[in-house]
Amino acid sequence: MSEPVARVSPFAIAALLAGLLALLTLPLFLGKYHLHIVSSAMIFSIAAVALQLLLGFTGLLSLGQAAFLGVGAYTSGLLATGLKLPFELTIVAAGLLSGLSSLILVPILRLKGTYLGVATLGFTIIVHLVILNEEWLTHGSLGLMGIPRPSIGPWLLRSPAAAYYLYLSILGAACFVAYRLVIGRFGRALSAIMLNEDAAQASGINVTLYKAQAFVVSAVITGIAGALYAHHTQYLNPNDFSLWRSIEILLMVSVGGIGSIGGAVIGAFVVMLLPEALRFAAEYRMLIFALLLIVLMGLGQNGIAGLCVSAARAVSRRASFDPGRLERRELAE
Amino acid sequence: MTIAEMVELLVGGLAIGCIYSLIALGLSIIIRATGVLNFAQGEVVMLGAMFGLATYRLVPLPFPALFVAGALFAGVMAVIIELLIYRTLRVRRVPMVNIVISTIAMSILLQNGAQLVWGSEPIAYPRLFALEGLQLGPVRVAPQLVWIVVLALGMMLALQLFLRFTRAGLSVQAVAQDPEAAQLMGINLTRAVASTYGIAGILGGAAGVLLGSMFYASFNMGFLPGIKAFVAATLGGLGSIGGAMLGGIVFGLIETFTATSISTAYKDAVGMVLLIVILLVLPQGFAGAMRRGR
Amino acid sequence: MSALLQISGLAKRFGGLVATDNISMTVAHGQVRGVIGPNGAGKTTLLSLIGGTMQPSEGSIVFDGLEVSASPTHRRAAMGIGRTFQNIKLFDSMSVLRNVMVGSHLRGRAGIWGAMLCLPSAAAEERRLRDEALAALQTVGLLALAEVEAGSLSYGQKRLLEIARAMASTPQLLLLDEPAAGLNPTEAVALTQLIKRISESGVTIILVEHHMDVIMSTCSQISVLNYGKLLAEGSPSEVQNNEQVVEAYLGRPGLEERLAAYA
Repeated sequence: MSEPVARVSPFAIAALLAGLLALLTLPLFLGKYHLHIVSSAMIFSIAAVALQLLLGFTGLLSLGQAAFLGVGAYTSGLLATGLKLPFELTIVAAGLLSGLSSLILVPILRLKGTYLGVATLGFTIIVHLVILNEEWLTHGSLGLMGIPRPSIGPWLLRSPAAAYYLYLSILGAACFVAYRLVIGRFGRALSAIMLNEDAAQASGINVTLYKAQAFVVSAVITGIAGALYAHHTQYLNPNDFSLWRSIEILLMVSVGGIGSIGGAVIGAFVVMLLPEALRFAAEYRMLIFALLLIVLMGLGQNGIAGLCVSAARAVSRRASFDPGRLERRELAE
Repeated sequence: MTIAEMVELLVGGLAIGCIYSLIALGLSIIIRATGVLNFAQGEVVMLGAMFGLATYRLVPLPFPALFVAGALFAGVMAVIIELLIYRTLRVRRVPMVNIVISTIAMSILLQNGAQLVWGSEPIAYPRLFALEGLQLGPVRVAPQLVWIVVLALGMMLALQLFLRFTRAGLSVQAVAQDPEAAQLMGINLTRAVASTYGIAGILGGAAGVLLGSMFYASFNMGFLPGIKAFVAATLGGLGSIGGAMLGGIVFGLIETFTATSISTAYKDAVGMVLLIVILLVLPQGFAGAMRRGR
Repeated sequence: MSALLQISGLAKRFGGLVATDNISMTVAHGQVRGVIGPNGAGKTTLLSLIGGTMQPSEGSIVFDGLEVSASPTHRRAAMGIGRTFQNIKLFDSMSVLRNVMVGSHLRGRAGIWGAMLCLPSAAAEERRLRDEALAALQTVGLLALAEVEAGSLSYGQKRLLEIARAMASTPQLLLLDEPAAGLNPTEAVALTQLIKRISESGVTIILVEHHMDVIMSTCSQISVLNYGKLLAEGSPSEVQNNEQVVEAYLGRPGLEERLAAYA
């Protein structure tokens, strides 16, 4: 849970530009199926960024993200199929409703660490059961079918590439919002709460209010991701929003690196795409996935982002060799 | 509801509650000793159930023997996983989050491994108990439930005796209190943490055989009970042994009574609503409340 | 001089244990009030009650004419009560500068909307807070370390940073909880100077301290606590000559001698 750094290293900028270029040109190289998978990863990146805001920048462990994803997805899906509302409206409604539902949980934000995790886990189970059992509304385990593709104004985004760029731009917006929220006075207050609640309060920070704001923003973003998911897959199943989904989003954030927005995106791509890439291993692919995960965790870094930071540091250290440094390091050890 | 039905339900709730308690106890002692929230505890439960079944197929032993076999196998597996994986990570001084995430990975690994070995279909446990109920006055109780309650409570008692009166148990306790001081007192940390995982594995495996005998065994049977036990352990107060036992039993009773009196579909939801309400009143679970009261 | 803080009949009990018992105290504007007493006398509890991290079992706290004993900590901070902690509570993984900027939270207004919408007012405010924080760091002499991670500072520097962070909210009342604990003699002298300077700028201070040099050279009034009760109150010389105080400290030759040294 490190601090957002004010000065961005040249490595980070280079990596960011390279990543952006890759994302922008990706549809040129990918077939329909792979573009579909990558688009899903993009949508889950949005959800991962939303959790990062809580876990990495406010210190709140939420296992309730699947519930917000589900609320957003079903809101959007039902409004689009039942009331035939346009995509722009359903996605806004999804964000709003998800944010509203998160308000119910504001009182439990005073719980610490794992206790908060368990309480939000309970919320996920409750919402999953509601989606599963309220068949009159959600069609229960049959699932919700016939959700239209995303459209903007009169244009239906029929081509996967067009949809891809839509998700990409919403991901960009989510990252931008998250970035703006973690720098500056608001973000400072959030990190202060994460690092020492007593000292934050003594500095005049209304801890409850700030936690609640972060939580609601996270839920709104997750709800929007849920709406995109609904229109992307065009079919919703209650089990898409089980507790396992919450754990999966937690995995994305930890794999990418806790406390890094870019890390959350990378983590989401790894967790979504690695099992696809391991398809050649057939029924062994999840075993390999789990083993790789353990190895990554065993490297002892803060996820892939942490790994990159250490690597960049090692490179720049070699670039500017300073004989005194070695001695100091030995002393420190 | 007649009194007889009431008692029947109570015993049923107690039985499932005892199973949750066993799993929760395992989670709790691991949290106490290492601070790690072990997401793979549910999979240890599954291993116990599977091995109990495999033993029966090899030699059709009576139920208590299967119970012991399943528990021991799960215990051995838990120790192997601890020494091979978690200990390696600890020695490398990785952040705590990384170890917790690796337990999630372990859970994925064990589930998928079990699916490869035992297939995806649920496997029915053999009929090990008489079907007609035990008649106790006006009340009729299924012998299976009685067995489950007796065996589970026996396990919990054995755990207490082990922790209080054996050298290994005391060193587990000491490590839970203060790992560094315990090491200074000459306690072998590796062995103490491995025994902690071993005990948690035995408890989980025992729960697995009991759970399997109630329903069936399958590769993913441990996930949900593991989560519920996690909730029960939290309800009791993370790291508290008494809290975990109480939390498990309370959770089992809530679930059973909700299923019959409110709704089967929402039996888990009611437990979760109550959990959230209880945590709002007691932010550190039952154990926190007891500490504060003192 | 008018009273900035008026405490009356303040009591805090933990179960059967009485941490502070019926304490009444009036602190005037601009005063430096020392609070001394043996370990466990209830000094830190008193500060926590004033700062708001604990709620009193009985009694009232009137700050700047308003009853605050039921207000949460952050609201008291907003009213002008700043504090440091006995067991230093810094944001270790933040830079020194950012720590102070958290302290100046109350000096800004930009909230969630300002941040999301990139309002120019928020950016201007951010620059102002940064400049103010740098000035605060200069006051305590940590300017050169502004970009260093707070967790890597030396003990004495951490104490100074805590004071800088508390000062960044421009409090009317500053609660210092053993700021000299663990400092070497040179650092303690520097701290004394700093406290004097803060006091001269018009801030009222309540100083809990074991370090008698610091107490005697900064405080105009001293309150002595013992077993949660107020034992004596007065100017440094009055306190030193108070028989009860000397008695309370008997059997603690170190303290007695130190008290005597100022008689």
